[in-house]
Amino acid sequence: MKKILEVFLGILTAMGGFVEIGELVFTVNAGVKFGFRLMWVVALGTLGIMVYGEMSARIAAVTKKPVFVLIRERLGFEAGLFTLIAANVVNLLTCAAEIGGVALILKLLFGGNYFLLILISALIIFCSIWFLKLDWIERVYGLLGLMMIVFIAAAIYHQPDWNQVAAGLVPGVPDVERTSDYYVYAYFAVAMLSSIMLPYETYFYASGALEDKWTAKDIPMNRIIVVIGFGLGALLAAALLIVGAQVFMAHEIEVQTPGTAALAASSILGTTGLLLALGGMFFAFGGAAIETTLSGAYNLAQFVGWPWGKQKEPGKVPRFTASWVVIIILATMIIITGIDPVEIVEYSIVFAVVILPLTFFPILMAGNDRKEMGDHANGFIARPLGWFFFILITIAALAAIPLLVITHGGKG
Amino acid sequence: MLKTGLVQGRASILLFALIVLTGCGQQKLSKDDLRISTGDIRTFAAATSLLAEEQIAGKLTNTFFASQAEILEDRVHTAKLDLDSPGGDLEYKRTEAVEIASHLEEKLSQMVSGEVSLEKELYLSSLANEAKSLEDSLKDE
Repeated sequence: MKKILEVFLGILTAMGGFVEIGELVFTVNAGVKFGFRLMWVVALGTLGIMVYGEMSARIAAVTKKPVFVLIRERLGFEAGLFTLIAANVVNLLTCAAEIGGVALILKLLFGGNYFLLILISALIIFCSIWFLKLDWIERVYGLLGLMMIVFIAAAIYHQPDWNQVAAGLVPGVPDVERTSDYYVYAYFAVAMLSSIMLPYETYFYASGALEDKWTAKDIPMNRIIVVIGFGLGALLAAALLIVGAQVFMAHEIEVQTPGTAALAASSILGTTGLLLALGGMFFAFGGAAIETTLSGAYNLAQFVGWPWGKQKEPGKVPRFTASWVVIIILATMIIITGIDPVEIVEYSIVFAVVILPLTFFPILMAGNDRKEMGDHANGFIARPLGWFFFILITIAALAAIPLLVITHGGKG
Repeated sequence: MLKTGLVQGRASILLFALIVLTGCGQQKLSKDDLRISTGDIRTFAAATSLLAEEQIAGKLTNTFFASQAEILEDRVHTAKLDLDSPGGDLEYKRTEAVEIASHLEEKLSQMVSGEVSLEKELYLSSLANEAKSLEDSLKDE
């Protein structure tokens, strides 16, 4: 019974924590610009994060090695150090954007000075990490993030042509007005893929498996959580794309603030819908801020060999504790300069895809290694899928920055 | 007196040269930059119109309405600053974009104080259409 409850909570948590500010903006705007034609990226990206999320947690459960130990072992010290620095810069920028996002939500709910609210948001994130145990962080932010389900209601309410939605699951080239729009389409495909498969999710999930002391016996539970939880989370992402196409496209609005996105929910449910959307976004962005903060600290501690663990007393892991505190401080300093959170996260998502191959390659190699993994090595499903997504992400990584430049950040 | 006049004359020429050089050094707005900024103004105007529409329909809280108007006002102001370069051949279009942004900023400032009406909503919608037409005129064939 306890196990069933654990799996159930894990699924809901995975679903509620699926969306963060970057994914919200990119997915909605993909719908605004291209209707349902990028739905296939939601499906593909979700499958990708299922494959690598499951793989990284399975490796952690069997070998007791987190992702950054694998990276150091498989890539060597120098390449590993480069990956660490790049990954933590992306984590820091994403964390800054999420803290800014939380501050914007607080402003929309309560009013007040935005810069003061940034400090309050950072304090909320700090207190959540300091006082709550890891499983309670996941439950609170993951479960309350489920208020975002109001966007699923909004998507259904606006009665999309479901045949066209289904057609969007097939990769294809859309009809566009100008040649340059093909590049914008490609840019959104790459950015959406990256926002769904953000590297911090893999780092955090694998580290969480070690914190919870998973063993090989937990592998089936891991698979259930990943497949069902991330799958349900993808429904949220799909709903955001539909909302973009059905609500904002007709108004020619590209969503550049979370408040604008919330209007999709208020349009159907009034203030109730508005408050559900804002509440869901608060916990979704807050959860992402916590995950990126801890992910950065996990990465550093695991790479250099410091003792680490959220479940341990802060005094027993002082350098790990100091790391995540410093990350919150630095992220707050970045966002308090006044830079738009949506602008930061757009860049961090594009740079995240560039480092994804460096993250996924060691995971794939370790997963395929029968000496390390024994009977739990990648089988006939995980192995080919693992290679497929590694190749796909590498192509996306090579295309990301040129597309960012050519399309002026997706604006054509 | 003549010496003072000469010094003043040289200073004036130097100042004039500096002004000209500064003007020449300031980069002209490219067609793409102008189109992108106009697109931002268009999207903000449309978002503001939708915001006004939902507030009139009673679907929003007053706090949300005022705060979102303030956030959009800030974004429009930033978009206006992005237009603060000479437009060269496109100067008249740049001026038009700045004018639309200024009108939008004015309406948003009123909305921060809680003012909203159907007339304002329709006006905002027309601003969005103006920005859209301007943006389309800047797109390459």
